[in-house]
Amino acid sequence: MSVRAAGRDATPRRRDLRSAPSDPAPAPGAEPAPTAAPAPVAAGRVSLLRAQWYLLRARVSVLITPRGRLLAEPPARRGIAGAESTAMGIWRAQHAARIIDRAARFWPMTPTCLMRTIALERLLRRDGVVGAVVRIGVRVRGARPQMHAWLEIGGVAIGDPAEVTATFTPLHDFTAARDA
Amino acid sequence: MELALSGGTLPSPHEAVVFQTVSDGAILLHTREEVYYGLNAVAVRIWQLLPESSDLDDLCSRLGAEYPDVEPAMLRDDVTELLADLQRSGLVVPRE
Repeated sequence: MSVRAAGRDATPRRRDLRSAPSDPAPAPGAEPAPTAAPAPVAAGRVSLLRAQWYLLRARVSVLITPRGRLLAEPPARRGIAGAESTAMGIWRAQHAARIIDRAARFWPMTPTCLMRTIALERLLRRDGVVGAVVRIGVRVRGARPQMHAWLEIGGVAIGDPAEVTATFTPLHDFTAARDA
Repeated sequence: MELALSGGTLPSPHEAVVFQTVSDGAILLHTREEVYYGLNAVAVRIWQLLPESSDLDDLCSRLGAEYPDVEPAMLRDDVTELLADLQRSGLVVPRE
């Protein structure tokens, strides 16, 4: 092995976390990543408009927020008081995630996974659902690492199929910093 | 390629950098700068040797022992270049 190859192979060098794609593309020839079943979701017009508003705010935040201010270290484990509140929070969060996904379909551009996760985290925080963390993970497909952001509550992935998030090695947990 | 290696002093990993091995290498995530950086297997060894090496000569000597077929000058150039890249990205900071 040549040391000359150090840091210079097909692995991408410096990459921006904010440019991670919405849904990690499968490796060439690989099975496509399973996607969430299009579960029916009861969402009124107000809920959809609200989700669109949070998506728009998340997009603006990702575009204009200075580095180091978009994501924050999560507070010490505090929010989830017990199993019951965790279960209720997860149920509400999964419902909200489906509404966010549905709202995103009406967007002219597909939000990145980070935008979608930030929108969902802020919406849940506003609704009093606590304990959610923005998890950043990595997996290698082909020669390239793929980064992905998703939301978790009590170790349960919100809005992303568990079989997909399980293919990523968690790197770090954040919360979305409050936007202006 | 310039690297602030005064007297061969090595930098240290930034405290906000997360290191995670993946197949054939590793990922460095700078949690404050929101950037990530891919390392191949050799660069991973350099990263791992960084804290335990006293200076650039020591690091190159340790690495050279693992890759005896590589010219010492080339090895040193590669180490220096990688450390300069890491320093430019804020992944390492001057050692105190």
